[in-house]
Amino acid sequence: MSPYFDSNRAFRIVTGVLKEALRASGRSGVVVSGGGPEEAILLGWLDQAGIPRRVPSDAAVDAARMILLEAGEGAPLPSPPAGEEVGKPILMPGEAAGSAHEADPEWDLEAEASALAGAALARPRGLLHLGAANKSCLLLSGALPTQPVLPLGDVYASEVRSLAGSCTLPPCLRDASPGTLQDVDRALRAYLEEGFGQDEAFDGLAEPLRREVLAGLTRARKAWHPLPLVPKLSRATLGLDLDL
Amino acid sequence: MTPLLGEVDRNEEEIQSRVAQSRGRDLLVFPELALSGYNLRGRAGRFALALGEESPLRLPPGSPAVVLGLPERGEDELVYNTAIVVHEGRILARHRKVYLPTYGLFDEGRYFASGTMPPRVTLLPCGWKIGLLICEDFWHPGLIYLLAMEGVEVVVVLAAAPGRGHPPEGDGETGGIPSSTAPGPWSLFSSQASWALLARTAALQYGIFMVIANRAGVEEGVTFAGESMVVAPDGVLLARGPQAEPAVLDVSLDRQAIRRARSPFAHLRDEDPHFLRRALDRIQEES
Repeated sequence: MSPYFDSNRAFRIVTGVLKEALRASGRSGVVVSGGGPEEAILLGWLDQAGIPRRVPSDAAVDAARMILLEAGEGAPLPSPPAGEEVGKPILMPGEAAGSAHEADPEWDLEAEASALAGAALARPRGLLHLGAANKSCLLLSGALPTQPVLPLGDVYASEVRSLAGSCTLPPCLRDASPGTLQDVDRALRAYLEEGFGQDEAFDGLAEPLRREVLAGLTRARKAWHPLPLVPKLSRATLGLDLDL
Repeated sequence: MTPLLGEVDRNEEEIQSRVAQSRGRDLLVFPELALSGYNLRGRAGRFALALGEESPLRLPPGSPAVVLGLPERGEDELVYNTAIVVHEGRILARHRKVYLPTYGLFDEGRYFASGTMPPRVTLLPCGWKIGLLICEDFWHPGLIYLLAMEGVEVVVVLAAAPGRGHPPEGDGETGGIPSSTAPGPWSLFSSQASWALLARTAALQYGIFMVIANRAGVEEGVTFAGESMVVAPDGVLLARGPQAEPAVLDVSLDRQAIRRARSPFAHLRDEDPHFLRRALDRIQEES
């Protein structure tokens, strides 16, 4: 996988898709949430393309964080240290490890708070809500983003890094070096895009990394169960066989 | 052209505008499903037109012959992905897409019925013999073979080909295929290099012109590759549109180029469809 990422190409394709999405849906602009270097890339592209955009305020994100922390029982937990680019596992408020309802270890409080604040900004105004997740995170995490549009969802983390100097990493790669990240992305591309078998594609990854990556794929596979989900009762059902 | 999904009136306006700008030309070719947009899915039936002998478009007198893609409601009430040639108020020819891509991001087999008739050669008022193919049809060489055996001079391919794949590193412009046209922008996708390769091969093999009208624009997450092209019978790229942008290619075809390309070669002369048919019968009997 080449370390060079053609940002002009990606910019052209991504902003072209967003512009058509806005035209076809009749919406006037977008909200971006999710944080990280990916959000910064998106904001730059949107400005360059002249697409009206907003981001949730710090106060809104703070409020969203409090909602998430206090939605269950128990005292608020401290926020992860600022500047960390890796999603941290976190228990739900008041829950101990090993409890019956232990939270998904991949659940990222800061990303969720940003997304919740973004939704609160986007929905009442009819704006398109964009998430910042990159392809490596989507492929290796069971935490499905809540934003309905993921403009960087086809851009690997190593490609984001080549563009921005840093990137958001999936939890299973939190300690990965740039070289390791590139190896993982190359293996994912070989397996998912180029028709290589699983053994062949991931052969170059040492254990336990190989095991972690395959486990991440399994989690992601479950997370991408089709949503929204409407049980079929009639002849033509939204999401299944009814196209408006 | 950039057809807008489900916006027939606007698409027809665009078509009419292009037709008006093309007076004096013999033929104007639009992409696959230009009238309706491509990814209709379950709505294909709602947009399908029943076609008789009259053109579904009212074109002013003196307009060129127009090749247009649209969803068709057949006499059997099935919905087809169809290309028509219209001229002076009448449909001169019709081809229903035979090969419906139903893999990856394509799902045409769920919403369209396959055409059951092979493409046929049509004689245009200007005297050229053309044959129509639609997108995936082009990837099945047997159909071009059939047109060649019937004496086609220009194979016209209507397409809605999405752009896919990163362009080859270090050769983003032509995908390794030399072009006789001025250099264009770097390729966005690697997929169009394959189209050019197939078109040049078919042109060379049969000494025919290949015209590919591929749409531009975006539908949902898919960017259509554009890059329409015209290939001469000697395999040279005569014209190529820009990447993923709407454009008009205005190209004059020289019938002498067919004669030159077919001489001194005898590929077409020596081709034996009877041999092929016997061989195919044997293969099918044995399988």
